[in-house]
Amino acid sequence: MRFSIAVIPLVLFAALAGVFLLNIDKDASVVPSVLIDKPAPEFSLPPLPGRDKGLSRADLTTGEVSVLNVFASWCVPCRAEHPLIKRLSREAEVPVYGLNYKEKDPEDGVKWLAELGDPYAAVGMDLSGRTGIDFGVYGVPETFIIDGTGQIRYKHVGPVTVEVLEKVLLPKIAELKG
Amino acid sequence: MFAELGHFALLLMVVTGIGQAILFSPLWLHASLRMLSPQRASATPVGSPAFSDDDDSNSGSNGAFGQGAVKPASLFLLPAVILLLGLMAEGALLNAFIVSDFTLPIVSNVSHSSTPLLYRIGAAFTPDGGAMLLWVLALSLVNLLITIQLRSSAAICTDRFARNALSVLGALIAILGVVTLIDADPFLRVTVAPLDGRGMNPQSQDLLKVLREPFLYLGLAGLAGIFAMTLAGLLDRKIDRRFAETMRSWTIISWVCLGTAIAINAYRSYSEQAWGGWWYWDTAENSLLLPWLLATALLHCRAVLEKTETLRAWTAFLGITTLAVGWFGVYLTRSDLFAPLPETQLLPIDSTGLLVAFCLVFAFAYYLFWRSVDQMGDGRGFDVISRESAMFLNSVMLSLVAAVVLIGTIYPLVLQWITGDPITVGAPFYVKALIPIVLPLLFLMAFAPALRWRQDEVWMIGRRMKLAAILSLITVLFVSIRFIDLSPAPLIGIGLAGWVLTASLSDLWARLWRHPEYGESKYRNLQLLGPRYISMTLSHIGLAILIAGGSASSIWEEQVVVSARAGQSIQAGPYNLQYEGVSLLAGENYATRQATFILYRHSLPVTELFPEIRYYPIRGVETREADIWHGRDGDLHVSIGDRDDDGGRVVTVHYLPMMPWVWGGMLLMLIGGCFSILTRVILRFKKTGVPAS
Repeated sequence: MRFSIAVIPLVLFAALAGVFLLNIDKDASVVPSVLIDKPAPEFSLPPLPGRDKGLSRADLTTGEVSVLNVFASWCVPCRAEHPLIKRLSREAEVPVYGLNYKEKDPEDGVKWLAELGDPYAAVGMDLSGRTGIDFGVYGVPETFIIDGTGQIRYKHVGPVTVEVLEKVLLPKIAELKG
Repeated sequence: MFAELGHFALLLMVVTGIGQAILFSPLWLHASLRMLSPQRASATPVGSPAFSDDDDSNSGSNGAFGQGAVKPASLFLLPAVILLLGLMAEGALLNAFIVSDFTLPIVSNVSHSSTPLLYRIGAAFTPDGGAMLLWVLALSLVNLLITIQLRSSAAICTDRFARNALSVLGALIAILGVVTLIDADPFLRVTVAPLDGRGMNPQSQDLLKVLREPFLYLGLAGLAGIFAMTLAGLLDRKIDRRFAETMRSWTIISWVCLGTAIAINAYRSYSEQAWGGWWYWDTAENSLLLPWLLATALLHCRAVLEKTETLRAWTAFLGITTLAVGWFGVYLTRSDLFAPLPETQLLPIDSTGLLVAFCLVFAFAYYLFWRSVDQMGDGRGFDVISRESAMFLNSVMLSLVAAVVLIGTIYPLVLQWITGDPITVGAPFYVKALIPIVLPLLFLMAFAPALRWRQDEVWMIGRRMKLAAILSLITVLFVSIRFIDLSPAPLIGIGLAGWVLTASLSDLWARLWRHPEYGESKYRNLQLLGPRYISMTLSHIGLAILIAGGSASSIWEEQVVVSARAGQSIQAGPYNLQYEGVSLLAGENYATRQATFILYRHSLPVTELFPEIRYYPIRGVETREADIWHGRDGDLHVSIGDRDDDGGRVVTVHYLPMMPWVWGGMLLMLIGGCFSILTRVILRFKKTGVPAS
């Protein structure tokens, strides 16, 4: 095989391709959010009717990893993901808080939880949607993982699926717990 | 239901693509025949002439075998089926967008029930899966057209060449189809559909932006056609005049399509932004520019190849590399290596398949190039002073420009991988690095049309270029005396634009009037010049006008930023804008604050201008839409901003003299390309229409 300059394109191409192939994993292929690694916004929400504990930022800064799940009784995908939120709360062994987003009637959230089961350590009621806006919620359901200092570490938009639960959320929580 | 049909059609496209790749390739055909029918294989000893695939240059024997195996009429069957399947898949996707089928994440991520129909259709091209599907569809269209072309010019091309080219195209369709299915399958459903979509990216809600995508992917598909022909030529070791003739229309079609996409992109950024610029050297723009630059280089050295059968290796190299940079550009813009695009922000992006396929395809292509190029020889040489050498130099310089743009695009990325520091490469880098290449390029560009093929004399050239040199020097002198404090860069720009323009015109003039070979009437002379010469002259003049406009508008640009109140008047250049106030209006899926300005020129009313700030509630995003008046002597570009503390409205006005030259120049270049395609089609139609002559 004798040398010729015609090999130069192949060599250059191989070098370029090699650099890009080696760095293929460095893509930041997670959904980026402006809130990632930022402190959770300040909020204090009233409890559901008939309950005494609401939800505030203090609940997220107890030094323990926690999960905040945004749900609403009018949201069909929330109903679909609910069994998985229950599983998450069982398996992750961290408190899962609920943010009941923009209900028309405050009783709706109570009825919904009575029907499907209540996995939440505490639920805050966001009738105006103001807290949701601060959290950058643009589609319900959304799920946030928050570390013990109140920093948002991960955000999942849309219903949690089995795949997301097992491959993303649970490992992420385990990683944060150390 | 339709989505599943579309999914199935896309799968079938992959299968038929593989089928075409295997069936049309003589190498594969022999191997598979030998495997399938052992009796026949044993009856014919391996290495016999009819089945010899060891000797690639022995086209005669294989050609004879091929003609017997597949009848010419059945040649169309597979490509036609693939195109039909592609149309079905695209139709299924468009249908999902039109009826807003939110069970498909691709629809719910970039569309919304309130998005107007036209933009719902346009939204189908923007996400990864939709764009890839469009590319595959464009490729299958090119595939059928090339089949028809090769079939009808069977006399030109050896049968083997046609088969190899179609085989490569089939393989490309299959590969890109698989990449679509792996990376960004557009037809996947979710079990739980959201109530509504997340809405289209408001930046993309624009008619021109919608049109850009089909042009871009048709251009890339044309490059894939050139790539397939180049590989076929390399396999046969026949990069010759016939090869160049076959490739000709595709270089021009790709060049025009990519150029249109660039022009659309430039005009869009011009009318979206408040600062009146039209080129920002960002990744999306660069990845359009790269294949266009190399397509321009290919256009020129292909002409040399056709005329003199030299520059074989260089043409083959460009034939491969043009698609390579186009593909790489798609990868760069579709992946999230850079700051994520707003459009793709909501979906995790996977473009691994696109990268892996890119590496495999081009590793093979460059390997083939290396192995076969040395065995071809490079025909007769040419003199240093000749049209060939000017055109060769031109294509080398264009490739250097492309190399600089490529380095500027990927350098920050590679550096970030190595050191972890994010840096940006902006206009200053490109200006510094490109000026030493672009200025000589433009200077030499004027010579090429006036040079003779093979060999020319310096004193002869001097005589021919005399007029152009004098006229452009006068231009430079006039401008530099008239505007004494001018920095040299734009002055050189204007001087070179004048140089190219006058050289093109004087060459045209000389050919129309002075050439002894041509007849008496000017019209007859124009006909004798031929469509190629005319389209080249149009494009060169277009480029000169573009450069003149770009330089002039950057020198004499006037910017006025004021806080305006109703009734106030703003002076910019020869124009006077009277601000009438802002009114709230409702668009189809947005609310808009629309300002009204009355434009006066020397205190005579010209027109009304309506810049806007639109608010799209679905995404909660504001966009600004400038309004532009294209006047005789320049553009007036006006945009509005927020209200300031005193209750006035921030108004930004740009007066850009000679800016219409930029758009006119781009248009003229594209018209030049279209002219060449159209006349070719018409001539061909005439030829087939009158068989007797």
